[in-house]
Amino acid sequence: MPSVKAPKAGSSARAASQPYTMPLSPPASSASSSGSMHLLENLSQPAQTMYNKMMNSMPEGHIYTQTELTELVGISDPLRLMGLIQENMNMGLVKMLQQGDDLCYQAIKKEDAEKIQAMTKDEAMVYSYIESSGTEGIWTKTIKAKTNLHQSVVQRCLKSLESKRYIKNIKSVKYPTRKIYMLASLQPSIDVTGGPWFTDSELDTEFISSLLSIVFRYVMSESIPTEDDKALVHPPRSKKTNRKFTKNEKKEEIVYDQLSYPANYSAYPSQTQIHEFVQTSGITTVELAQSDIKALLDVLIYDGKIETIDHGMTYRAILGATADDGTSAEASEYDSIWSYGPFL
Amino acid sequence: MSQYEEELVVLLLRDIYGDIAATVVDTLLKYGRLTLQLISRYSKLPLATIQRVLVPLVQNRFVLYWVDENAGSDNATYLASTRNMYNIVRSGMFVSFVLDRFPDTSGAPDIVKNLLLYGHIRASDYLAAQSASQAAVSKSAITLLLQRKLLTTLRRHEFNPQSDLYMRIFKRRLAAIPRSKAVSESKRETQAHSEATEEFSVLKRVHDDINDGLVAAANGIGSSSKRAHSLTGSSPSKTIDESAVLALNHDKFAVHMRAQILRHLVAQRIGKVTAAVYGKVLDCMEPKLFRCVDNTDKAITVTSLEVLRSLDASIELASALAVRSSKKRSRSASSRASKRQKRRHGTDDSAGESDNSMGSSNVSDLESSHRHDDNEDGDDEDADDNFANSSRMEHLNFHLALLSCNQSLPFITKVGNKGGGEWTIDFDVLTARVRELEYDKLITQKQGAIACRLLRIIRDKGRIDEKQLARIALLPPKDIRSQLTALHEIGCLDLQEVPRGTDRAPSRTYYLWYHKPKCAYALMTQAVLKTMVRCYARVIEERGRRPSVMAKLLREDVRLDELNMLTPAEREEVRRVRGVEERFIAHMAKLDNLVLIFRDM
Repeated sequence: MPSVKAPKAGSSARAASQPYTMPLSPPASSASSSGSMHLLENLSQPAQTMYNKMMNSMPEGHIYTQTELTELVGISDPLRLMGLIQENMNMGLVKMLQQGDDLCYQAIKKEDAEKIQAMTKDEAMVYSYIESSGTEGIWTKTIKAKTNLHQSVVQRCLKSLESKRYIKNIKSVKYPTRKIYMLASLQPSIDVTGGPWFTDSELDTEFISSLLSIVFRYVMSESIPTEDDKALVHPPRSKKTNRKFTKNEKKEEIVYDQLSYPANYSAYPSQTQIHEFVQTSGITTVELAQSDIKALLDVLIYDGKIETIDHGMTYRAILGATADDGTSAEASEYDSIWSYGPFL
Repeated sequence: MSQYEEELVVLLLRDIYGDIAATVVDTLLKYGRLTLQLISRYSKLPLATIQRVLVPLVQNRFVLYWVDENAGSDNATYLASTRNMYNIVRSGMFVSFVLDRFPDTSGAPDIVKNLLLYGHIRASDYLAAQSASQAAVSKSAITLLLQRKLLTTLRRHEFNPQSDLYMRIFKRRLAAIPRSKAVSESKRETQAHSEATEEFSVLKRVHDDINDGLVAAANGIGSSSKRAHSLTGSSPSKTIDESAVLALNHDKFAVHMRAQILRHLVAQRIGKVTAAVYGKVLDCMEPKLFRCVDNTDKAITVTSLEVLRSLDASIELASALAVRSSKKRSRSASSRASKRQKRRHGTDDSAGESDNSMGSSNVSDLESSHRHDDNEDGDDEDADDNFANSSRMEHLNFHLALLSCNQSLPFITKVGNKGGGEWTIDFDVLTARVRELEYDKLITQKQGAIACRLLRIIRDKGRIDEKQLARIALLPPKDIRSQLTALHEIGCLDLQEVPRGTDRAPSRTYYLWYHKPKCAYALMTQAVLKTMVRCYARVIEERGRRPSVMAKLLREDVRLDELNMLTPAEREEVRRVRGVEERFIAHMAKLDNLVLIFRDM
């Protein structure tokens, strides 16, 4: 009985959530012909049954532990079970993974198995590494290091795989000079593409600045009282300096020296409120997560436009700050004292 | 690195006191401490001239002298004091400050102007030089100024350099500790040092006494200002000690300038009314503040009652409170707010002593007649009415709460509940924040908003590399690099290299940017001083281009009647020169404000 190959000792322990795929052992029969049934036909009957059961009884991609398999096929003898599994593995129809300390198995679709059987040994190895990198993608130099193949060999494999449209090349945001490869069917992860701020791997500064000014204006409207929010107490008639009367209007227009919310005012906008506002305002079609909003708010803090209250629970606009488009949060006349002009 | 300060000071002296004075001071600044002979040798001026010119310099304490009793000869050594000379820049502002606070008729501005001219005057000499009626006015003015500590008395030791004074005290203390086998030499020294520092600090604070320079009046004639009594605590029946030597107190003036800066900041960040309240708080604290940086442990507190009493009745406190209009707020938020307000007023009423609500009575009927909006909750109306009808004390507390609620910029902090609330100001924290804000403003003006954003991120994060910086700032790395190098050049940022391997190849090292505040501020101050030098040099140049007109202006008859004594062309020239002077000297005042913030505050 061919023994079950344990995962390579040199490979580092993976997290239980990410199953480890080891490179497949070379198939017993040479892979040359096409036709999905051909693979299955090479198997013995019990092995075929096992494979079909694995494919059909559970949703796709389900990972079976050894006990589950025993139940499935009804063969309690571990040696015989191992034999069947090994047959399937030789054909590439079953993949062995490691979850924590246990070994487990996953059935592979016939088309995929076909693909792999059709490739050369090297290509298969390279392909398996690219597959295991998931949505992160993998760098050519890493592939070279892991497979211990020569650079030109790796290049050749990559070229052939790409021509067969199994893998694709993507540009990373963090390392623009690196060549990152991943499976053609997958979408690159946020990490690689950079998130909502990047379009075509470039920072979209206009988008960001427009978002910033929108968020700032919202925070400003929520944190600085306007003429709508009346003062509780109007200034008395004796105050001559700051009054202006409009003709033929019974209502006097009073100019306030200062309007502030009290120190314990609690209705300053919080991060969730701002997030909701941005989403409902329909400014952009791009999905923005809470962390993106937090990044925007941090930038506004660093611009000196807003500040946090309650250690980051809510945000308030700073009096005297101006948005980029000129709308100001009550820029006061005291600003002019502090301009040092061209001399300094 | 105080090269520019020295340049500025020499320039000022050259313009005001003449070439020889400037040369002597220049020599002293270049060579350090010198005796008379050495000054003569290095400056190539005759001895008699130097002696003559040293008189006003020593009088104004621009040059300090020291006679070492242990040395063989009786010769004095002289040392130039840039700090005292720099105060010339502030002289104009001092005079205008006094003019603001005291009317011209009280004689106070005249005293200040004379002191600026003479450096120091003995009280008896000053009074003797005036007519009898003038003398009486001056006497009361001097007493008032002494009580406010804008004037101070001079002791003999203030003409000596501080390092020498300290050395003398130290040597005396060291000699007083006997040598013994038990106590090692270094221990003796440290003990002597600590004792000497104590004695020296006592010596420096000798003017902090309330009755410094004052004696009990013979028959009750003296400063009768009740206000002075309540503020400074000294009895009104005090008059000046005739034998006291008077001089201007620039430390106290710096305290006043700092108060003005803080008030402006409050007006910018919170509002005008709160700024007025804050100004009163600072005024209440001011008698106990003798200099900007005072390393004493006790904090100075002010109670709300004190502030309330000193507040102008005309300042309208209550109208600054805004309540969200009913269109905007939700029912739940408003009911929460009203409940909280009710609770707050409940506790306030019990704790605070309600003073006369003079402000609120005529205001409340106005308020009821002007009610336009309908509130959704009946609760809110009650709560709002409560506030409007509540005492002026509570309105005051509203403003004080606004001042203290911001944790990153604590203008004031509450420390107790006596007398309506005890408040103190932590000047260290506040000064650091003011410096940060001012520096940010400067960088924004010099380099742009992006550079300021980067600076704030770096300040917050400590040490950070370019990539992280780009990620946090949401800016492309290419744009950032030019800004960072520009900031590096002006001394705002610094680089830390962290090599990844044993070789120091640039591609294999991490470069972390960081910001050192003290260093950056010092470099900025030097740049400011350099600008001041240039401003003043320009003023002198403009004057120098029109020597005949300037000379004519000095004539007595021309000064009395400029309109008729000058030709139209000359008048035009004068107008132009005055325009230039005004612009540059006003600019120097603004720059001096910066120096105050970064160096003296």
